[in-house]
Amino acid sequence: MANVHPPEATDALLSAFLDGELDAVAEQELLCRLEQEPALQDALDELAQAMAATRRALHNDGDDIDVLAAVLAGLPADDVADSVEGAETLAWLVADGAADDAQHRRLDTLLNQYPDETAEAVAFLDATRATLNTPAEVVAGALSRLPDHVGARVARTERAWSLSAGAADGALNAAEIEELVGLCSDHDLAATFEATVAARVDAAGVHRGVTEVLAAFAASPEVEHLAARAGAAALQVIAAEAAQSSAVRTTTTTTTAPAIGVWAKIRGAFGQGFIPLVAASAAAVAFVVVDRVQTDPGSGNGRDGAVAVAAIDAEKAKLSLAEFRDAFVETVGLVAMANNTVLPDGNLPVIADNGADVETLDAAGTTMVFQTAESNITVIWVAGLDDDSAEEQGT
Amino acid sequence: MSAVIHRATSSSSLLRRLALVAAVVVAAVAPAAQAQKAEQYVIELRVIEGERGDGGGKAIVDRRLASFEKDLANLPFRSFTLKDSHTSLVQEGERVSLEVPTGNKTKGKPSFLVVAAHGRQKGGKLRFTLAIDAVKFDTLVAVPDGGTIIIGGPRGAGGKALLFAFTAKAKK
Repeated sequence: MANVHPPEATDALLSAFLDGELDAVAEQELLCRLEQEPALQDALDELAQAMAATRRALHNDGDDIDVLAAVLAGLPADDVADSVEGAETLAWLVADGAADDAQHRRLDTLLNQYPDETAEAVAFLDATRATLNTPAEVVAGALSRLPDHVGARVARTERAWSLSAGAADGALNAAEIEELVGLCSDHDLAATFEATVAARVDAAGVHRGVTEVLAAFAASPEVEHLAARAGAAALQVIAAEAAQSSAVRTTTTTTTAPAIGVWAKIRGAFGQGFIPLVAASAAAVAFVVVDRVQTDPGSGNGRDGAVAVAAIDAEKAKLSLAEFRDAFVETVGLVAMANNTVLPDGNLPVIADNGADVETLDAAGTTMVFQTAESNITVIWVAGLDDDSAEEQGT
Repeated sequence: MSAVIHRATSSSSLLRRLALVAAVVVAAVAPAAQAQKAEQYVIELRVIEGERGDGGGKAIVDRRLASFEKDLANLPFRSFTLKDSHTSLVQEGERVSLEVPTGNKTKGKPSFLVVAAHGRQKGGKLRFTLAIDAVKFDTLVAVPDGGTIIIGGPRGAGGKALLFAFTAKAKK
């Protein structure tokens, strides 16, 4: 007589068999039963298929989601667990449009049973059910208009950004301002406008345009320093080329008060230590001067003292103060100048705003004064500066 | 040493020496003190040659003039070449002459752009007289510290125009 097993025990036994969890004795006993009981064999086959489908679904890579849906769709409503997880399972079936009436009712029961935990699922299901109840052509029409709606929205947003930037720079005309006002009736686009303007203000510290911000940045010491370094390399190239070219030569001449100019450079070279040095040197030279005046040139007394004081020859001892100053330059200053009056390296950078004042202008030819748009460099163009063919100068 | 003894025993000569030393020191320090107030300026002159074009297309600008590129692009030339560059130091009250080419009118004689520094305006701009005597050009301008001004017009070799870009910056 065949053993009678409760259904749950049979399912557990078959599941354990498929999972390879039975020991050798139990497995041998089940195999004997399967040979003798066709219904048990059918149950095993059904269970094996369900387990295989579930495994594929759990390792889903795409298409197998349909398999899971199919498994769930075949799930008897009464077999769904009495839990939130069971409600979610049925909600997926409803959303997929695969739930039968029994599953709908079972889901409603579970949702009422767990109202707090399933609130989001309820909202989702309501929308889904409404969509499912909507005629297909209506849904299709709405979906077909969606790209156009999104595209128009994007275009309006981009336009709002553009106009906002222009408004922040004060560069809008009346029509554009009106357009911007219209766009700003949209709450989100108004927020875009405010964000754009706020960003400009934050970036500049004051309400001004990007151009001015960049101009201020270009004029900053950091940028000037970088430009000076870049210019230093360029100047070396220019200097090398200039050295090779004898056609154009540079001469720098001081045309007024040359001694003072050199004098000032020496003063700059010596810096704070200059005055004591001047005093000491002047005293030394004066000592020689006085000594030369008071001492008989024919005697050896004064000459010994002069030789002992400084290596300045007798002619310089007779110089006036201005000449003395030049003498000082010759004897002391040249070394200092050679070591200290080096000009800054590199081309001077072009600043952002070069606007200059032309206070007076005297030229033989037709003159035009204007400023460049980029850096406001004042250009004084004299058409006849070189010859009389003003028209040929292109101005 | 006899000379030392002689100087030490002559009080009148000592006084004269001290007076002269004082005079010399004053004479030496006075201009230095005056010069201390005077500002120095680094000046740079770039001699640019512009080749006239038909107004079409983008001008070709010497890479060494890249910082001027957008400014020069407004001028009616098809190319700009840096021909020469001078850097010098000039002090307020001084003038410096920089040799520049001025083409036909000077008939081969050297021409100079004379730069005279006059200090600062109240607004802080640097005032300079720029003059080219050979072509009877003279102007008094005030440029921002570090600013550039362009003087154009002289014709260079091959009929090309010359532009003098003058930049001045106070030396710190």
